[in-house]
Amino acid sequence: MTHAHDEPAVHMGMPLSNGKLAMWLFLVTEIMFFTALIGTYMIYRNGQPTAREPWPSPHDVHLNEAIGAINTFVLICSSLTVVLAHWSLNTGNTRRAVLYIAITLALGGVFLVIKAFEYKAKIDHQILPGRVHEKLDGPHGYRFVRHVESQLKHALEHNEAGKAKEAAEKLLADIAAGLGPKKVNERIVGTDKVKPVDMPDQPQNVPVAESLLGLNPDLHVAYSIPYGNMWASNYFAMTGFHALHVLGGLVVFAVMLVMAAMGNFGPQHESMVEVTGLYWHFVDIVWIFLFPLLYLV
Amino acid sequence: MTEQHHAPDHAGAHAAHDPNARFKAYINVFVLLCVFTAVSFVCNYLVQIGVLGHLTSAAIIMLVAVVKATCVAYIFMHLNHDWKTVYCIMVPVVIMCVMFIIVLLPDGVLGWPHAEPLPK
Repeated sequence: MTHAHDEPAVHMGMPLSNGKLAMWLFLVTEIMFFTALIGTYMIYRNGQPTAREPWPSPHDVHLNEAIGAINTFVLICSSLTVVLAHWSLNTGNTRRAVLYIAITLALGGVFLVIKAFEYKAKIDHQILPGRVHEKLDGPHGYRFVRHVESQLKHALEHNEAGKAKEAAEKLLADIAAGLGPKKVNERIVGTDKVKPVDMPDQPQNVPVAESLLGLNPDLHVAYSIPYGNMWASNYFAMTGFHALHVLGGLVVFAVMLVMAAMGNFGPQHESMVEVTGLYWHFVDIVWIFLFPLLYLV
Repeated sequence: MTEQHHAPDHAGAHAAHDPNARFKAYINVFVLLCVFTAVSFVCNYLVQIGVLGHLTSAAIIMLVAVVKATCVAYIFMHLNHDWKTVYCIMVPVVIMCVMFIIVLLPDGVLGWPHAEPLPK
C-alpha cells in the first residue's frame, strides 16, 4: 500500500448530504402513503358504480373544475418560485432568494384559502361523509323527505330561497300532501339530471331550468347523490392529507423568513432550501395527480 | 471511486452548470406545466360538449399528469443530476406503486364489461 495516499478517500453510504438522503427516504414513504390513498379511491371510483347508479360527477358534489385548475396553477407557480429561491442562493443572491421564499409562502397560503372555500361549499351543502342521501327507497327515502322538508322551511323562513321561492312553497305543499321521495328529488334537480336509479316510475318531466336548483343553484337543499358518502370520504381524506402537507411546508418557509428577518439566512442555508424544495415539489406532484382524478376524470 | 464520491453533496455539481441555462430550464418547465394543465382542462371541456369520448379524454389527462410529474421530478427536483445516486431508493418504490395499481385493476376497471346496462 505504498500509494495509499494517492487513492481517494472512501466515503460510506451514498454521495448525498445527510439531509438530502433523509428527505428522499421520507419522500419514498410519502409516495407509498399517497399511492395507497389514490389506489383506494380507484377501487371505490371504478369498482361498484354503474351507468344506472353512477359515481358522482364533479357538478353533483359542487366541485368546480376551474377552481381546481387555478389551484394547480398556483402550486406550479410556487414550485417555480421555490426552485428559483434555491437557484438564487446558489448564485449568491440572498435577497432575491428570500423574496422567492416569501412568494412561495404567499402562493401556498392562496392554495389553502381556495381549498378552505371549497370545503365550506361542501359543509354548506352537507356533502360530508355519512350526511349525503344516496338511496331513496324504504326508510332512506322517508329520512330524505323529512330532511328536505326542514331545509325548505328554514330557507323560506329566512328568505334564502331567492328565485326558487314559489317552487319551494309548492314543493313543500306537495310534500305535505304525500309526494314520494323520488319525485321530491326530481323536483329539486330536474328530470334530466335525475340518476337512472332514482328515476320515479312516472316522471313529472320537470325541466332543469324550473327545478329548485335550476332556479337557485345556491339553495341549501339535499338531493340524492349515489355513492356520495364514499366520494366525500375519499375527497376529504386525499385533499385533507394533501392540505396538511402544504401547511407543513408553509411552516418551514415561515421559519426561513423569520431567520432572514433576524439576519441569520444566507448561502450557507442552500442545502436547507434545496431539501425543503424537494418536499414542496413532491406536494406539487401529488396535486398534479389529485386534480385530474377528482375534478376531471 | 468516481469524482462524485469526493463531494458529499451535489451543490457544487449544480454550481458547475451555467446558472442562466438552469434558469431557462426552470422557466421552460414552468411554461410546459401551464400548457399541460390547460390541455387537461380543455380535454375535460371537450368531453362535456360531446366532442371527445370519456375514456379517450381520461387516457390523455392521466398521460399528461404523468408527463407533468416527470417534468417536476426531473428538472425541479434535480433528478437529472441525482437520479444516478437516488435510483436505488426510488426504483423499488416505483415498482411497488406500479404493482399496487396493477393488483387493484381487477377490482376496478375489469368489472366494467359486467356492469348493469343503462335502462332504456
